[in-house]
Amino acid sequence: MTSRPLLEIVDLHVTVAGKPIVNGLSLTIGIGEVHALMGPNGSGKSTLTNVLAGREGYEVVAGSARLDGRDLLPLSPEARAHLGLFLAFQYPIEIPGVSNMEFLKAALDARQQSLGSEPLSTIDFMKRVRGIATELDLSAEFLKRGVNEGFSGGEKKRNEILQMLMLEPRMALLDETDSGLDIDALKVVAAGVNRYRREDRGILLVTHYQRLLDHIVPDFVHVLAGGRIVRSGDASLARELEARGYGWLTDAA
Amino acid sequence: MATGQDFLARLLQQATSAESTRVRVRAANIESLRDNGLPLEERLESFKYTPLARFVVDDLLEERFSPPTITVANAAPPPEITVEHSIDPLPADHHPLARINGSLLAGVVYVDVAPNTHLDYPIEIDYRQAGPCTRVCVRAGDASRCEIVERHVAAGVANRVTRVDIGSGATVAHRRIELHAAAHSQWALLAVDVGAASHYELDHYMAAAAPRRSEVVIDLTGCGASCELTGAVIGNEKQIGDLQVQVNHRATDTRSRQLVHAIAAGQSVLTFNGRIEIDARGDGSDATLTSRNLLLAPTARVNAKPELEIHTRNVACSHGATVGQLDPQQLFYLRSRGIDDLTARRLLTRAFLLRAITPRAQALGFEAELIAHLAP
Ligand SMILES: Nc1ncnc2c1ncn2[C@@H]1O[C@H](COP(=O)(O)OP(=O)(O)O)[C@@H](O)[C@H]1O
Ligand SMILES: [Mg+2]
Repeated sequence: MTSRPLLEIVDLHVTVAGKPIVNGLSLTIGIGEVHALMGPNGSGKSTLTNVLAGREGYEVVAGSARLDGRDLLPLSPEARAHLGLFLAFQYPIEIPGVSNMEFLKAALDARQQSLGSEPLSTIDFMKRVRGIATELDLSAEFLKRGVNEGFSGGEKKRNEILQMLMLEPRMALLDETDSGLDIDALKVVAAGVNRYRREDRGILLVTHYQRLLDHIVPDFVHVLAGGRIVRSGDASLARELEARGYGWLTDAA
Repeated sequence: MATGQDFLARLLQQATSAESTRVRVRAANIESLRDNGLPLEERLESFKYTPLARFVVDDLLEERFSPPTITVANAAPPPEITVEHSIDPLPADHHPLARINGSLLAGVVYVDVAPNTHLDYPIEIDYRQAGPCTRVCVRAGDASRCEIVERHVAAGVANRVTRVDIGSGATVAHRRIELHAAAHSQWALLAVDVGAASHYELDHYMAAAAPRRSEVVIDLTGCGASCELTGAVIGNEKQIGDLQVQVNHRATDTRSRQLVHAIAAGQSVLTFNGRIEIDARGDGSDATLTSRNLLLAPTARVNAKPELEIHTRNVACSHGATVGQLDPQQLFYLRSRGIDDLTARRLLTRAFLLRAITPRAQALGFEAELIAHLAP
């Protein structure tokens, strides 16, 4: 199963405060594919997703990352988003004073503008956001609150998925969107991701656990250790990791 | 700007002209100015960023008695509104700028809310047509309830004194905005006396000017009196804004709350000095003060200084001040959703302001007016 590359990372090296964290990582995600990225704590998974999204504080010392053939690394975070990149944060940021609704509208308006389309009318916007919120088991009251303000861990994760479904990116990076969820919330989130999954889109699922992959079956599974991919396989690799842990791979790394 | 001597000579000449000696308060103020002059040379700490001399300007001497417009819609019974030419000196008349005010006044506007009256509509005080020196005194009788909406939006220089006297068991909500005339020096003093078991709520918003200084003195004089101040100070370009608040707990079981947000853009310099004083009579007092300050440019400055002075035991007091810039993590979160940097900054700035805007101030459109002032 090889398709045209959507996200193409080649020999990426990243340092944080002078310390090498990502060390020659290469990964290609084809259009329509779902990849899972697994690996022990501190192996550099979030560093990778943050660098791709354009977060400050990381230095790319070598390598490239392209989305649809466009070089991502020189672009501002908003320009990357306009190309269709989306990061579901491992730790979503709280923004008291900006309502979730206002935030979603601003994000969607920005997206429409980048596509050269008209902004959605308030009524259409509300319909759409309410529909998706209901699917994710989020109440209308939740939309009025400050962005992630006082949300429980699970609500924050569902709010990330809400944004993803609203913005319909081409490439979604989901950084541990499953951690801290109880089994019901996990099902809701997985259903949201499966609804998003489509032939013309790509997903990179960063996770620790097999249990998410029971609901969202990946095409490929990669293991990250010491800042590079030490093993790749199909969905069965995740089950093997569940049974054996990471030791047998990281020792070899 | 007049030199002190020049200004004083002209003020005294004008103030003692026959026409205006009817105002009793004037005598005391004029005499004091004549004897003591204006302390323009003194380096007073509280005037560090807005020196007294900046407010002693020739335009104040304009001979024109025009009080602000005061309206109350549909009130039954209506408050009594009178203009008196004979007034008692204010406790604040020791303030040199209040003395200038007291010397030049041709009349004081009194608004009396009778005891046990509940006004359904706000007392609106609008300074658009007002002359440079004004004095308004609202007296809320025992067990009365009212709301004051004060819009300081005059075109030129201003020297304003507002007094609110609250009896016992009364509730007064005061919404105040000071805007416009950014090119002129603006000074305002608000002196409030809160009686036993009364509550005073002050929403106080101001945009900096060249310069604007606003002083608020709230005396909690009756047992169980309380006040809650929520406010914001906003500056842009080379403006200067200075808010000086003093809350005096002068009786037992009094309670005060202060929350003030300052936003400094451009090369503006903003000061918030919030002072809580609990005297020997203030047993059981409870006071808090929160000052949050946002710098939008490396060239902008804020000086935030909470001060506490306590002369009794058995009080609960807390205060805190923070100064910071927009949070880079929040900015990144917004931008990662495709929101451009400028829009993201605007959203976060507004969010910071909103946390110090009461629902009522929001309904009155204050937030929008303040945000407009921040526009580049
Ligand atoms: N902002 C930062 N400052 C310093 N060290 C960091 C920072 N971000 C990540 N690191 C370090 O980089 C390594 C990888 O972290 P991270 O990418 O968060 O791993 P993972 O997501 O796989 O758990 C860790 O050793 C972590 O301590
Ligand atoms: Mg991580």
